[in-house]
Amino acid sequence: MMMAPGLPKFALVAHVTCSVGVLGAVAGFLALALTGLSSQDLPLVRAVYAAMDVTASLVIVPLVLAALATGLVQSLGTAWGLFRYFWVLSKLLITLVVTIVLLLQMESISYVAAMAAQPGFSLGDLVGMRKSLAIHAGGGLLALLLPLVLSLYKPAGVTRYGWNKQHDRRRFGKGGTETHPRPSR
Amino acid sequence: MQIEDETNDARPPAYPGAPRWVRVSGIVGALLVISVLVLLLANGDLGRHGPGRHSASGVAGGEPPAQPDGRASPGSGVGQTQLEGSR
Repeated sequence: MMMAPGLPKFALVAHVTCSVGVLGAVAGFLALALTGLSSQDLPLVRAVYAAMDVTASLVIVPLVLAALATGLVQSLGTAWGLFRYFWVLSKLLITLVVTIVLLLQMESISYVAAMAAQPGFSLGDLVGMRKSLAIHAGGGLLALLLPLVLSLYKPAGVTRYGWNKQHDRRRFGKGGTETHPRPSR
Repeated sequence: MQIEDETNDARPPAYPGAPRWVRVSGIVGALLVISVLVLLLANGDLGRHGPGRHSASGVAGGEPPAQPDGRASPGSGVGQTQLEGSR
């Protein structure tokens, strides 16, 4: 299913905006998590965890879901397809794993923010959970860099499904695709 | 001869297999997943996510699971302890 002319470019802009946006948002989240762990300023630490909660729920989660959705639209609406090339498939799997881990972390993020807002909270509380948030943010940032690299390099390699599709196209004269097409993406 | 050519064209050429970067990435990814699973199993955290994973009743963590008003933390299912700082 191909998109109408003009739509692929729009879908590409939306996908790149969401993907790069979530990368920046997670970098900011990591900076907050590290500040929350290292700072000795209690009011600052309280504010940091409140900001992390807001950033995660209002920026990171919507952007990750949007990146996933626009990526699906982008791949299914262009010659790349979703299951034809390993790099596209890899991006999908990485984004899915990141989304699942993020959604599982949301409860902890809200919990730490709520606890940090309590009058009895001290700098020595919830250290394990706070470290876990920083570790997950760092891992998430590294994981989100991979789709970016894959998108830019587009390493060669078709799946068996993609191989058969290419052959079918050539056989039935549907325009035929190259081994490694270069549609806008 | 014409028929023979058409027959050859209809048969898909042999699939060349996954490139090296896919095989290497697959191995690295599998090792990462196994490492995480082993770590989770070692900590007794498998199947437990969220704040409850760090609760006092858990094997690892020893974090206070309850909120200051005595409510159990989300996902912990247990715990009536107070925040360490308020004790």
